[in-house]
Amino acid sequence: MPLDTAVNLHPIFVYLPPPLRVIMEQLPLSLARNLEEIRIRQGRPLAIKTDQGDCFIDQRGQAVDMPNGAYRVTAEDVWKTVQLISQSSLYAFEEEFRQGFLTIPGGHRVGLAGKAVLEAGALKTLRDIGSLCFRIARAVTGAARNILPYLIDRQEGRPYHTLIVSPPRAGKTTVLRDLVRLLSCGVPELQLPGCSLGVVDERGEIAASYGGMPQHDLGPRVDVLDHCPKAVGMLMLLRSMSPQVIATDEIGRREDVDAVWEMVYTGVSVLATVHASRFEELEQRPYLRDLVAERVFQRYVFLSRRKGPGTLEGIWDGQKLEVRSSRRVG
Amino acid sequence: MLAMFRLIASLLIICSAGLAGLRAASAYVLRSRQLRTLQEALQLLDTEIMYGATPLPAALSKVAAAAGDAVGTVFREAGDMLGTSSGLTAGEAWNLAVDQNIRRTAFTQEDRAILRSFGEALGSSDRAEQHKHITLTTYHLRQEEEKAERERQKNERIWKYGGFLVGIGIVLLLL
Repeated sequence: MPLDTAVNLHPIFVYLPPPLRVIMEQLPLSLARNLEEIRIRQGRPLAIKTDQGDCFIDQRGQAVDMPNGAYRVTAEDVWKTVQLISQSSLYAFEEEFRQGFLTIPGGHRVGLAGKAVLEAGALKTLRDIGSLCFRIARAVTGAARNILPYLIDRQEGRPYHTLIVSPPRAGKTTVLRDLVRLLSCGVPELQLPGCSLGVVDERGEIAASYGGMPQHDLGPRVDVLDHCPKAVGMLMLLRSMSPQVIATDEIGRREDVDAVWEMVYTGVSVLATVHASRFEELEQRPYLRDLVAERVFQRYVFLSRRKGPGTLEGIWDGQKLEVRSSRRVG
Repeated sequence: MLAMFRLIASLLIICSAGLAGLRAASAYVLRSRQLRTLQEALQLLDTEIMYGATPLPAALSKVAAAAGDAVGTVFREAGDMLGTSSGLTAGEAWNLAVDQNIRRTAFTQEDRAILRSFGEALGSSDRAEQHKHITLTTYHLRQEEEKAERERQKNERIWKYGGFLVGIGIVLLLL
């Protein structure tokens, strides 16, 4: 899967306090082009992760193998970074802090770890943030182009109910995002006109909206319900925006599965993702097992990291027959 | 000719001293008014934070537009500095805006200390904490306003007429 390496890092570096910004701006081009993560941990060495693995960064922005030579992140660095990513408005990002990450313009995500504050047994917020992880978003345009022909019901003229299945960090959200974009734009080669989609982006990962605007290109026919619980959001979008397709990420809870049940009988196609590696794992999960047994989803797309993120392992239909190799569809 | 010169010089002295007195008197009125405007602006900021959860750059700009004059300038400049990618935190931007604009206001060093202390915690906690913080700042400002009002009642008239009287006194001494 080709990566778009031309990511401009400046919009990310403006969220770093001056000492860290100066260091990161001196990164060698080879590291900057493949940057995947920046890890800022209080009292510990500044670290980055690229497609080649992770390394520490010294005062001059050079990679060092040993943590001793690396720049040590101060408490002020961490505090200022938290202030900058939240526009000095922690109160405006209470929900994001509860979820443990927030999105900055460009769709990049900043993960947070600190002291959890509980209220009546539930997580209220995080405070005393000690670690931050900037995850650089790279839209992989065309990630779903090859699988799309297998996901279209030519007779009905609509996408099949599709579940994208993969372990974490194997590209399922990236593929879902590109699927949404392709369906929204339409694909003339497949005689597929664009259709209107509703995206319930509970964790802000698909559209990565900032100030109401999707930061990723999702095409012209998409309505995003940002940071809304999936189960509530799917029903809301169905009533309010009359979409032809509803897309959501990481289903698994009982209410999510119930909402999917409701969707499939309304004529709306459902695109969803889930964490798992194999059918057996899906069938062991309490609520998803029923969806598989009842053949609710008509297509399963399995991804892995075997040959890098987004490696396609196969596409199966609702009866667990591999459709990609047998060429029964598409 | 000399008498004419003396007359003009005397009038100049009296007017200058009188105007200086009027200016000092108006500073008392202005301080009371600006302290009141500041409290109203903070109430508006509280509403933006509590009910709108508006991020500070936008919230400060809204408050600036409503407050107007020199008090509004502090809010606007702090909001502008936060909106650009200057790397400043809200506290730093606020304190910088206060320092840059304090001379254009009638605020005293006590008022400035309250404003700077307000900047320390601005934006760095959840809504409930921000509300408490704004309420506390408003309380301190109200106390300062009451003090300013007492000082105004005590001193306004003295300065208003005192300036002219001092001017007349100087003229009499010189004659």
